Amino acid sequence: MSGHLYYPEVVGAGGALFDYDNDGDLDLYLVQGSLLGGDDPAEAPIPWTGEWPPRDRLFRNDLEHGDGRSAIHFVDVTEDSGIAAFGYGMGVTASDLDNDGWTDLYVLNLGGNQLWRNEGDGTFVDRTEASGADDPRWSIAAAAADYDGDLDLDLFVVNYLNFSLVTHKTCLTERGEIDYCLPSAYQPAPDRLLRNDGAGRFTDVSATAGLSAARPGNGLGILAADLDGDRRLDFHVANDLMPNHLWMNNGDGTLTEEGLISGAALNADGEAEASMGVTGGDYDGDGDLDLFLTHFHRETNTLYRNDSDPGAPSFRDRTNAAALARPSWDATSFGTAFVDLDLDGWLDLAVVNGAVTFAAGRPRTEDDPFPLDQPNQVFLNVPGSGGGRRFEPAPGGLPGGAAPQVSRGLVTGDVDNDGDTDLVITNNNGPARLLLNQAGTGDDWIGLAPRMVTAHGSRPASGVTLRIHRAGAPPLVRLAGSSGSYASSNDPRVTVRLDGAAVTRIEAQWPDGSVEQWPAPPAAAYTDLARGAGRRLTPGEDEEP
Amino acid sequence: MIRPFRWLRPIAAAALVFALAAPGLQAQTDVNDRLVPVPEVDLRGVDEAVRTQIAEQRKLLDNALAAGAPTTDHAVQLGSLFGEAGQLYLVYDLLPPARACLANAAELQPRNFRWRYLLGSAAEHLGQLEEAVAAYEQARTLEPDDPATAIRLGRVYLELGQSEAARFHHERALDLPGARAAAHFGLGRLAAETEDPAAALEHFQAALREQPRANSLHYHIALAHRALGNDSESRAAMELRGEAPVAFSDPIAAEIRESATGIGAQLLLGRVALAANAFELAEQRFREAVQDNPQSAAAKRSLASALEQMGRRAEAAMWYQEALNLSPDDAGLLFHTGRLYNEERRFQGAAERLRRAVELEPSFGPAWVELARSLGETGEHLEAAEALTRALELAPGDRNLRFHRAGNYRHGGRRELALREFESLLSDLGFHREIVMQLGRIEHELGRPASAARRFEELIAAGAEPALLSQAHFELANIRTEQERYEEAIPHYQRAINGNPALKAGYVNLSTALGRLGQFQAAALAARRALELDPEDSQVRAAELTALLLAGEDAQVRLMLEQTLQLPDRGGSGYFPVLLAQVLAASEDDDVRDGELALRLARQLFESARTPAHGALLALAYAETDDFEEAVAWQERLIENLEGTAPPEALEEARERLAAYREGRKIRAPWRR
Repeated sequence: MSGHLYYPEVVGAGGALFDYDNDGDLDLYLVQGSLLGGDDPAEAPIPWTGEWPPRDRLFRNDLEHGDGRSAIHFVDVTEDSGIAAFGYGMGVTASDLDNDGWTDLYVLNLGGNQLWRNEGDGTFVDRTEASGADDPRWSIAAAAADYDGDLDLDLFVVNYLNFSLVTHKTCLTERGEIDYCLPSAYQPAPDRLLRNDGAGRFTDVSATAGLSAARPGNGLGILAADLDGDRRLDFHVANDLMPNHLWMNNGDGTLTEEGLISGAALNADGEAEASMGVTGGDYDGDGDLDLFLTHFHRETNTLYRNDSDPGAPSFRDRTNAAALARPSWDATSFGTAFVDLDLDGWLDLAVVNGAVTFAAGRPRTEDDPFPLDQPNQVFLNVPGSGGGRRFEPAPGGLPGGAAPQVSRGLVTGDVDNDGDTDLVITNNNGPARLLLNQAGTGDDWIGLAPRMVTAHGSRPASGVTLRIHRAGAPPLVRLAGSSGSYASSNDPRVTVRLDGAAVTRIEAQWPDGSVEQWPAPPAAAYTDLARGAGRRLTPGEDEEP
Repeated sequence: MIRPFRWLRPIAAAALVFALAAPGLQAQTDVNDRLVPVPEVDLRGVDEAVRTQIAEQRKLLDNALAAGAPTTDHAVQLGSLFGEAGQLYLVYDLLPPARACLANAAELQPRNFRWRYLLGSAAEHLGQLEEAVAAYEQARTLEPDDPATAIRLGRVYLELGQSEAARFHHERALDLPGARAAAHFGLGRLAAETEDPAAALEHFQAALREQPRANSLHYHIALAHRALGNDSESRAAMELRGEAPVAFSDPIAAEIRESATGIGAQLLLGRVALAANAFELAEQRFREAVQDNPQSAAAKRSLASALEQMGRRAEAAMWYQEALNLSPDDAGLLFHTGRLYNEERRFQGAAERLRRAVELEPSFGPAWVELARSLGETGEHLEAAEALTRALELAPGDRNLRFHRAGNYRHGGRRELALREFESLLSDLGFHREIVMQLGRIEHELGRPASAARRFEELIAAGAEPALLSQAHFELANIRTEQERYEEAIPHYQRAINGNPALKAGYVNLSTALGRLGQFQAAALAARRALELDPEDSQVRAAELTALLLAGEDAQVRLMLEQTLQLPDRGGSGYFPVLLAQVLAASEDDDVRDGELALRLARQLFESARTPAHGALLALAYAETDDFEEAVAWQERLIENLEGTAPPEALEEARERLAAYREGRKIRAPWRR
């Protein structure tokens, strides 16, 4: 971030929580931006004081257990890892793209993206060119998801807009103040769908899959999940100031954009909002995945309740009813997650904020030349009227609220493996923060880690819908996947607090549409749910209560 | 009390007066305590022109606050200043200071709708929905039928999840002009929110019928169909979806939006200065706007408004006309130009503009009223009354309008109609001095002196302010004079004059009454007083001279006449040389008479105009010079001319003189006849 008000400065960057060394705990990858314009780093309006040139960082988690407590210790292994990501980084997705059992990294940049293949020995090699996964445009996020059900992970790459130093524009506020531009100053860049051949080589199928049929959007966030209950992975793309895209999977390798007709593209006023991040979760306990999107200031963040039937996606803006409109009005929100932070069985919402224009933040002063920081927020899921659910801002928001940053990425994962979900927040021009959830101190929880079995063992699965059946209580539906939020890659595992309710069985709906069932797993531990190891359910059988 | 006819004022001034009457401003000592501080805005990096504008208005605000004696006037002025400043902040999207300014404006001018409404809008944009609701609700109490307030209230209540309140306001808006489509849209949103897609569909479709250009409604129709399971209808509707939103009548918001352009901000800043009574600064700002945007009618109109408030009406009228040239069909501009033309007594021009204004906007009440004024002043009283009838259709029962219409009926000759209107007003209002006065006058004009006199006596007995009382005495005195009850008339004239020492007609009529009673010296003195009030009134001068002659002051009269005839206009009347010739030829005072001089003067007069009066003068003058032959000859010619045309008494007098001349007798003091 140079301070020259180049548009990309206010956009990046995210991070990833993933187990790169397969030691059972989550390591951390942080995407790094850079300086545009060729300034001497020390002379830039915002001087760069770190190691030059800036690069993405990989931190190994050396989690230790003892005396019933976990001790986290991160070690910067960037140099040893061989990752040389010096691009102007935006986002990342961490997935085993070549089915070798080791989680790779796909890094999204302003300019060419990079695919770093995990060699399994603590090192990564750049396989961008060989894999065919490069995209020279301004990419923000990607979802690694098996959209065609062939048991490997394809890549849906979300591109933002056509910016370069040549096309850079100077934008002014209504008061004539020089400010960061809005996306409408540029042309949107089309998204891209890359089909995996199973060995980590990708083919651009954007045109044949139907992506070209839709008007390109200014994409920032993506969620891969079965959103209409037809057992196929769909994609929701959050577009900035343009209608969002809902790509419904036709099951034949093609996608159809159904954002408008489903109600997931615009808010209840029929307006396109400046969508940044997106997350999916069953906030109302009705068994399907609802959507939550984060937006610009003076727009609400928007909650879309899922009312779909298989093959007929349908969403309704329930932001007002869920009391989420007003608290989000002043914030420009990016990363977000449905996560049961207080372990009460209901999905809460975490939202990280940071302005993108001065007009949306405080006035600039000599002492505060980039006043874009904003407090982050947590909304607790509580009973609403008529048996519905609503959200209540948690007092104090997220820790660190007293000294807010310009937050962008929100990455979720159980970093200390204690059964609750921790948060990593990435900040523009500021340190990342790791917030350890202290709610899960007991052993009254189960952890579920869906895995795909491959020729070389297994890998974390993504886009898996889990149903946790409980005695005397409705099943909990959880999405196990790395996509969602903004420019980030989440821990695909799922944790659920039991709270006295006995789990009777687990069902996993895999991206290829198959459903398997497992008996109740042991408490206070993560249990691998390997595809093929559960009892396969026949169609209809999984619908039993 | 009936207000004077010129009750229309510039809008700003009217608002000021309105607010002055507002409750809540009595205890001003704690005004400043009730104001909220306006947050500072750091404007470094902001465009210099904008920075200057905001800094300037801030300074005006600070000065006004610092100068603030806790008086009602000051509070009202401060309210206007805060309001205009709030609008300027709104233009630049500086919501926190806008909200503070508007909150203060609303506090200081609690009955000003605009400030409440804009405060609601600022709070709404800041996400302070409860505050927005409170402000909108207060705005609603001031203008219950404002469509924009109803729609915004409905919308904010919807966002707050208060469905019943949202429904109430949207349903109310269904009956308000310019809000029906938005009301249906809001009700559709509400129905969708409450899981009633059938009702939602109905309302969205109704909204589309009301406002077919709002093609964004197809999106909502599509989703409602979808929720009802009508997939094909849903997809068909989605195909029709466009970007045009559902609009509703919201002139204040539109004005603020328009102000976001450069010229708008210039104008707004001028208005801030105007509200701070910084007239010269306001003028300067508006002149800059005009200079930068010579094709802007708004800029010229604002300049005109500022000039008018500075009392420079002629310039103001000129700029209004300039604006009108750019925007000839702007009824408001036509109205303001016409109104100022009225002020400048350019009634014909005013009537032309005002006629056009009401043609464009038949419901423009104040324009009808101003038109009535123009017409009344040009003597077209019945047309004026018709204009007031149109104004009354818009403001039924307005007693001011009825009063002025009755006045126009009276002056237009429809006295019975006027009488009925005034009597009706009297019946509505009870005893009302101005109406009683009018009734007395009309009855007098209708030839009912007895009942007219009773009205004036009643008014005098009830007592009234000096000017009105003076008029009553004058009217009553005139009736008594007509009834030849001079002794009763004289004291009323004197009271009329005491109540209004500038009442020239009072002196004149008093002079007449005194003369009729033979009190010529007093009559002459009364006429002299009248002449002092209007030295150019030749009739009054003639009355004074006549009174003096009757009092036997011939020498004084000769001197006064000779001085009068030295004046450039020779006294403004052909009567004075005739009178002088008469005095020279026929005075009883030997020192005054001068036959030769009289004859020269009579010859000049006859040569200038060969009239019977001048012929009679020649005869009189010949007789005085003892040339009775010529006197008889001229008198005979005179009688020949008068026979068949002159009144009998004039002919009789002429024959008497002829007889005298034949007998060699001279005529003396014929004015005593």
